[in-house]
Amino acid sequence: MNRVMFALPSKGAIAEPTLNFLQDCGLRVDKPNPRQYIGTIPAIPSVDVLFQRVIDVLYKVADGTAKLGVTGLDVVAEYGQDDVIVIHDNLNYGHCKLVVAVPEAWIDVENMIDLAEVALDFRETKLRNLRVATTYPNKTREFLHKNGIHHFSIVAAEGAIEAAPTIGYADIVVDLVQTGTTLRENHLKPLPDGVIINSQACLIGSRQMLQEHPEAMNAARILLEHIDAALLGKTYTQLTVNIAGENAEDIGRKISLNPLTRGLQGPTIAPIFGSDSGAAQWFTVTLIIPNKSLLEAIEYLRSVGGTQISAVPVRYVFLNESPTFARLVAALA
Amino acid sequence: MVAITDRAREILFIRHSVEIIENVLAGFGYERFDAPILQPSELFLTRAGDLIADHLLTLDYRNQRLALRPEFTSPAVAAYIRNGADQPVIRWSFSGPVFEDRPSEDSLQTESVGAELLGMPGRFAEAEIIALAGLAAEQLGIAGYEIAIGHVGLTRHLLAQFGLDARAQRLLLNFLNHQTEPVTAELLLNWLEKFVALPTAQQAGEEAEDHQSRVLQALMKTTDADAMAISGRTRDEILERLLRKQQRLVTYERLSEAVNFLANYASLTAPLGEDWLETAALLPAPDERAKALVDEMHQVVSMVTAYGIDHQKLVIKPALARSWDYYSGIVFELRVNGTLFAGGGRYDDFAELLGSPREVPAVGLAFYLNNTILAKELIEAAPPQTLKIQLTPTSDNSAAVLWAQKLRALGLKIAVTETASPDSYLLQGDQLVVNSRAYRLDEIPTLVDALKEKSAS
Repeated sequence: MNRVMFALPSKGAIAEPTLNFLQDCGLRVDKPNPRQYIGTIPAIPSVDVLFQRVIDVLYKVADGTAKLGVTGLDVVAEYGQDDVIVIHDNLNYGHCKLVVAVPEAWIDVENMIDLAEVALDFRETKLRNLRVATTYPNKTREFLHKNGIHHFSIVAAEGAIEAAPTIGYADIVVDLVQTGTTLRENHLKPLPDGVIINSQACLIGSRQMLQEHPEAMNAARILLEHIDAALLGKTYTQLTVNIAGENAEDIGRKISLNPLTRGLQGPTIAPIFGSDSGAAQWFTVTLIIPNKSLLEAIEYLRSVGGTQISAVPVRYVFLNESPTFARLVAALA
Repeated sequence: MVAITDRAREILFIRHSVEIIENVLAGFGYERFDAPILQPSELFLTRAGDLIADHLLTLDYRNQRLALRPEFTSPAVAAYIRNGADQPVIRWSFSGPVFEDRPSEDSLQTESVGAELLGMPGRFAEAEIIALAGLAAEQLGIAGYEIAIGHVGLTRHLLAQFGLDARAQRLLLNFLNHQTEPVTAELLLNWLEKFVALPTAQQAGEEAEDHQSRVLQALMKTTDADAMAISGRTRDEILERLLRKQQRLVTYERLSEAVNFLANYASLTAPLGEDWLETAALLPAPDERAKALVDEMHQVVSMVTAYGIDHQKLVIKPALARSWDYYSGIVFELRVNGTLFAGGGRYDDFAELLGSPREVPAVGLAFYLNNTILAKELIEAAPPQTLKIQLTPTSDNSAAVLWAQKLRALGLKIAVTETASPDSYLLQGDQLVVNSRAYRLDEIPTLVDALKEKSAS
């Protein structure tokens, strides 16, 4: 059987969250030795896991060493490779923004237009370019030009970018921000219209490898079935409610009157054994409710006589097929 | 019209086009200017900043960053001011390969051809440069072209009347230059609101104000010795700019009138013949200077037609946006079915940026041969391929040389070959066979007539 290499981040902000995310999706990653760069996913025996830096995940997928990988949207945007396609762009963790940040003391600079004017000041009065420290030169260039800033120099830097203006080797920075604490600690402020990329973790694949290797496509399908079902599951809660009524039809009608309590397909209603109390018969109703409507749904159930309502999180919701996998098939066709 | 895909024919066409354009330029007294292919990269960055930085092909040599030239204007102006800024009028034409690293293009190298007219102020220079673009297009057999003429100086003057300072004008015009969507008053007002920093709902909150005043107080206490901590700008610079912004807030109403005006002005276009003083009627107040600038465009248009350019082909677009950072006066673009074929204009401020002690009047134009949809007729009119004389085992080699030399003396391009091809003519003994007829050496005039007839058919 041909093996499928799946590249995951070995360090950095999304390394640990990626393992947690996959575990939540029922795809626990086993790493026999913390110092080794390989691992397995027991749920998909055909897959080998390769741990790499986020940028190398992209390169390994681009050169076909790995057929699938998890990295950041920011990395794909900056170092995009022709053959790499983003299979899932909303894994919903590892959120961060690539932003333009200026020294807090520049109280006159509140947006990109202000910055464009300051860049002109630098050129005309200091006869030098505005210096920008970043590890994202391509997206930074593109963004600054789009905002009318043309006279600047990119200062290539690795790590501790936020300190560059204080140390004095750059005037402003373009960097990834999660909470903004590091920027504040370094007396920098992000510009509200200076967001270059809204990033999060994403699943990527090699177009050519997926087209040519059915086993890679099969691994992608199993991954996406788990991921889609788990992500969708997170948005639902299962409610169990006891309710008295004449019969199951009567209860079904009452509950289905409100679109919120119709569940995914309709309520499941079962009689409660030995619960006859006079004329009314007790039933247990099971329902899947979107989290955002939970309280509203509970209030409605109470209003129609529901009681002893218990709620448990839904782990997976499997639809007819994985929507993301269907999109992938269409994109590769 | 056809788009050429065959690279070899394209190169042939481009060389042929360059020759024709150079001939037109030579007829106006333009002398050939050549620039080293490798130059310090700052030379090119001065003109275009980081717009070009990403596309320059550079190498580091002895602690200096060199770049393959991406254009000719910067080296030409640099050469001019090296010889002193008080030289007589200089007309230079240039042609040759230029280099840019643009992943979307097939090749790093393209052919550039154009002209610079340095040291000559006034409308005559602009008219000449614009006329040259039209005349060269006509010589190239391109009939369906349109020349749009605009005026950067006029646009700036009009904006200044609304109280828009030079810095604000540049920022606004640069913003316009990079717009891909149609310019609307709403788009411009949106820009303006950010520019003058109208307080947002959040900023209006007390907390934000508190923070602002805390930072302001801290800033007031900062000395210039702490400048490093505020990264490349001094306390005074920040305060001075803050003041500038406050003043803009005061004149917000005036500025919004300016952008409303600009939204109309940017879309203004009209063929020659309409009363262009109507442009002046758009002005906030009657203004002699604006009228004089509008009049400049009229003078140029009328002079361009004196060169024989059909006035139907001329259109005035006062807000025609080329690079606002660079041009200072009349600008133009010649387009063929919407595709840019030539463009240029006046750029008097550029020499000072390159270190000239004073302004140097300068106009220039460049042709964009590679992105043009080429005229089919022109491709067919491209110079004939080299005529080939094919030797046979029985051919007399010295006879072949004799034939070739005699034909070369008549201006034909001749190659002697041993292999047959559709464009080769067989040498049998000492006679050349053309169209199934064998010609002797003394029959060359008849043979040349036969060849001409063949190429005409």
